[in-house]
Amino acid sequence: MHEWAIADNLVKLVAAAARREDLESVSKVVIRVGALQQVVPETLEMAFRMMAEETEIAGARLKIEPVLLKLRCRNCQTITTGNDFVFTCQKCGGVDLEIISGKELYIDYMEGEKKGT
Amino acid sequence: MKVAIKKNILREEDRIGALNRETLRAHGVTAFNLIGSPGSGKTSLIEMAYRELAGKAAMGVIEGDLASDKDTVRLKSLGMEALQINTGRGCHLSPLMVRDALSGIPLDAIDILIIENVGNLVCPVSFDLGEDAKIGLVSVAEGDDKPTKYPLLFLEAEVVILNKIDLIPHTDFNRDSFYLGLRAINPTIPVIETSCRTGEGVVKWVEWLMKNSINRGEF
Repeated sequence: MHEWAIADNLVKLVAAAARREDLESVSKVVIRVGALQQVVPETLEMAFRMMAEETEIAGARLKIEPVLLKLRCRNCQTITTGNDFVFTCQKCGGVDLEIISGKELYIDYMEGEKKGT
Repeated sequence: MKVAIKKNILREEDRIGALNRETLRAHGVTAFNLIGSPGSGKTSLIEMAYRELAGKAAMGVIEGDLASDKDTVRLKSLGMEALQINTGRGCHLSPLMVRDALSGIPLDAIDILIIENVGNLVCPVSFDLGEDAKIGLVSVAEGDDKPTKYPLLFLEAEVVILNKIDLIPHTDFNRDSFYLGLRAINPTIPVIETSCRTGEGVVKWVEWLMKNSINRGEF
C-alpha cells in the first residue's frame, strides 16, 4: 500500500523535472527499487499511471528495475546476493553483514520530447 | 531525449522528516516511532509506559489510525497529551502528517513523544518521521516468523519488543525459531519481552526508553 505514497512523490518529482526541462511529453520513467522496500510492482505501476493522469506526464510508462539484496560480510568480505532475504554470508556463514544494496527508491531518468520539436 | 533525474523518490518526505527532527530537538523532546501489527499491543504498551514513567518523565503520544479516535480517548483518559491522526486510506504516517500534529502538542511540556504508527509491518518503515529511533513490536499471537517475513523493520529498528509472552504456553509460538529468524537479520538488536496483562518486562521497556532518550534519562 505504500506504493501510493511512493507514486505520489514520484509523479511530483518527474513532473517538476519535465517542467524544468521544458518537455512537452514524457514517454518513460525509469526507477530502481530495492528488494527490502517490499514494493509490489503492479501496484506501483497502477498507482503511477493513475496519479500521472491529470499531470503533464500523463501517459508515461513506468519501468521498475528491481535491485537485489546485496550484502558484504565484515568477516571474510564475500558478497552475498539473493532473491530471498538471506542475511547469512554464503561463504563463511557469518551474520555480521553490511547492506550494499536493496534499500533503493531511486529515480534514474526519464525520456520525453522537448516542446516545439 | 533522455533526461537524468538521479534523485531519491522520497527526498521531499525525508526533508520534512528532518524538519520534524529539528523541531523536536529544539524542544528537547525524544521521539520514538512505534511500529507493529494491528492488535499487537501498541496502545497498551504506551499506557503501561505512561504509568511507569509518572514522576520521572512526561510522555506525549501521536496516534496514527486509519479511522476513529478510540485510542486517543483511551490515552487522554489517563491524563496523557495525545493527538489523533486519521490517515483515511493511508497505511502509514507521513512526515507531513506528523509535522501538522506537532503544532498541536505542547512540546515544552513533554520529554518523550511516542508516535504510534498505523498497524502495519511494511509501509511505515520507509518513512522517516523525524524520530530518534524506530521500535519494532511483535506479539506472540502473530507467530514466530515475523522478522523473516518483514526484514526491513527489524533491520531499521533499535529495539524489538516481543509482547504477549503470557500467551506462549497456549500457542505454537517457538521462541527459538523467533530468535533464530531475528538474529539472522539483526544479530545485535536488543529484545525486550513483555506482557501488558501481567506487567512483565514493562519496567525494562521503560528503562530502555529512558536510557535512549536524548538526555539519557536525566529529566
